[in-house]
Amino acid sequence: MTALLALGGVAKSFGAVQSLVDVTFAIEDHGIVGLIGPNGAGKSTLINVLTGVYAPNSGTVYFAGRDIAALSTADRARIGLVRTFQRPHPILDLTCIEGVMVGGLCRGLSQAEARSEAHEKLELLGLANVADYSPRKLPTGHLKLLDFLRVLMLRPRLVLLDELMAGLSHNELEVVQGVIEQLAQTGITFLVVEHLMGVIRRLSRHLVVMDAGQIVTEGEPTTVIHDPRVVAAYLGDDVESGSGDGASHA
Amino acid sequence: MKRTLVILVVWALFASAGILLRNNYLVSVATSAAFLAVWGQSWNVLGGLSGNISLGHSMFVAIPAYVTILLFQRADVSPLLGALLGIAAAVALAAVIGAATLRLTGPYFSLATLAAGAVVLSLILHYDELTSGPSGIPISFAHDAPEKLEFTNVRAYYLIAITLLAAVTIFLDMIKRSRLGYYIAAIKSSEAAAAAAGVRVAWVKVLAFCLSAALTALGGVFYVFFIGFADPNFLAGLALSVKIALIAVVGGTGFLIGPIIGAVFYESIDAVANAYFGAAGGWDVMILGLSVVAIVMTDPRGLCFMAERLWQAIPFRPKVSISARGV
Repeated sequence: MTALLALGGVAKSFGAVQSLVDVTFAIEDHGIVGLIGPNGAGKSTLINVLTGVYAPNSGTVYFAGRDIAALSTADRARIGLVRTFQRPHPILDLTCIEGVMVGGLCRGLSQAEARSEAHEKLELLGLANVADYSPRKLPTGHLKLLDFLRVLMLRPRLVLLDELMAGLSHNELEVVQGVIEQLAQTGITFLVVEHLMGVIRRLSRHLVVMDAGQIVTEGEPTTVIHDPRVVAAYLGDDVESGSGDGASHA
Repeated sequence: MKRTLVILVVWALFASAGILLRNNYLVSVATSAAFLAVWGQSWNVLGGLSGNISLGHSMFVAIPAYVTILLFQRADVSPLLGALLGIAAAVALAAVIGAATLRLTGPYFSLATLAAGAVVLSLILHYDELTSGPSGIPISFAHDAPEKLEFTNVRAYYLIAITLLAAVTIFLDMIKRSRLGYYIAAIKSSEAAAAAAGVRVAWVKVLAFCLSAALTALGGVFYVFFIGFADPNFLAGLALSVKIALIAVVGGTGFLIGPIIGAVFYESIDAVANAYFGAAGGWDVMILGLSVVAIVMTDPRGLCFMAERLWQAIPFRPKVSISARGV
C-alpha cells in the first residue's frame, strides 16, 4: 500500500538556522495522525514545506504517489492537500458564508452550488446563524472554524491542522473533534498539530513526535508519550542521553 | 439588479441635465469629472478590490490614446479599430508588468508601477519623430464625424463619458459578485489563505490588473478626442496616475460610488479654486491639497465612510433598502 503522504530526507534552513534537519516519515491513507513537539521543533515549517509555501533545501515530498515539488500552494490544495493556520485568516470583505464558498469555487462549483454546500458545512459546526455576518464581528474561535470549513470545501484527502483547536471554547472543541472524527470515517486523513494533549489523546491513532527539526519517534500514542526520548525533548536533554544531538544548536 | 436599475436612473437624470444645461464650461467640467471617475472605477478593480496600489495608471490612458491618434493620423486607421488596438496594447503591457511585479506586494508593487509609468512617459517624449515628443499632437476637426469619434458639441463627449461611467460601475459591481471577485477579496485579506483555499494568486492578480488596464484604456481613447489634444506630460504624467488613485481612495474604496464621489469632489474643488485663486499663483493647488488632507484626517477611509457615519448619527433615519456599499 502506497502512503498518502511520504517525505524523504526533507531539510529546510533559514540562514544558519536549520528548521528541518532530516524529516522522513509517511502518512497512510485514512485516519488521524497527531504531530507534537516543543516550540521551535519545526512543525509549522514542516506544514509550510508540505503546502509549498517554502521550498525544501533537499528531500522529496510525495502526495498520493506523485512528486509535488513543482506544484504551487493553490495546486496542492486543488489536488487535496490542504492546511489551516495557527492564526485565523478571515476574508474581511466577504460575508462568512462567501468566505467559505471560495474553497468550493476553486473546486469548480457554481456559486449556487458552493453556497448551498457552504451552508451545510456551517450547519455542521453550528455556525449557520452567522452565515451572512461580516467576519469582522466574530471571535477568533469562529474565524478559525471558518478557515477550516473553507478548505474542507475543496474535498481534501489530507488536512493539515496547525493548532486549529488552540483558543476554541469548550463547546467548540467538542463539536470540532466530533466533526473531525466523522470526516475521518468518510476517508479524509488528518495530520493534527496540537499542544493540547487531551485532543491528541482523543483523536490520534498514531502519534509523531518532532524535536529540533527531526522526527524523534512515532507510534501508538500512549506508548509514544511515555517514551523517554519524548520526555527528554519536552523537559530537556539532561533526563536522557543519546538522542539529543540534533537539539544542540537549536 | 436593484443597483443596476438605480445606476441607470441616475444616468438618465445626469444625461438630461447635461443636455439641458446651457453652460458649456460646466458641462466640460462635468465631463472631465466623469472621465476621472471612469478611471477611478477601473483602478478600483485592482486597487480597491485587491489592495494593490498602482501609481502608474496614466500609462493605460496614454498608450491607447496615442495608438489611436497615431494610427488615425499617420495610417488612416479608423479610430474605432485603433481604439481596440490601443486597448489591446494597454492590456498586453499590464500583463507583462503584472507578471513581473505582482509577486511583489505592498509598496514594491506601487513603486514598480510608478517606474513603469515614468518609462512610458520617457519613451513618448524620446521618440518624438513618431509621437511629436513634448509638443503633443493636436486633433482638429470642423464638423461631426461619429465614426471618427469627432463631435463639435461637448455634450456628445459628456454623454459618452457618463455612459462609460455607468457601464464601468455596473461591470465593477458584477465583478465583485463573481467568482473572480471572491478570489480577489480573498487575496486582499491574505494571499497565504487564498492560496491555501486553492486560489491561484498570481494569475488572479494579473487578470485583475489587465481588466483594470482595459477599462482605463477605454476611457483614455474617448478622453483624448474630448480634450482634442494629446499632451504627453498630462496623459502619461505622474500627476494623473496619482489623481486616479487619489480620487478612488478619497471617495472610499469599499463603496461602489466611491470613485464617483471622489472625482466630483476633486474636479469641483479644482474648478472653484482655479476660478477664484488660480491667478494668485499656487493657491488653488494648495486649497486642493489641504481639502484632501482634511478628509484623510477626518476619516482615512474616505468621503463615503464619512457620509455613512453621518447618516448613522441621525436618530430617526428612514431605512434604506439599496446599499450603495459594495460589500
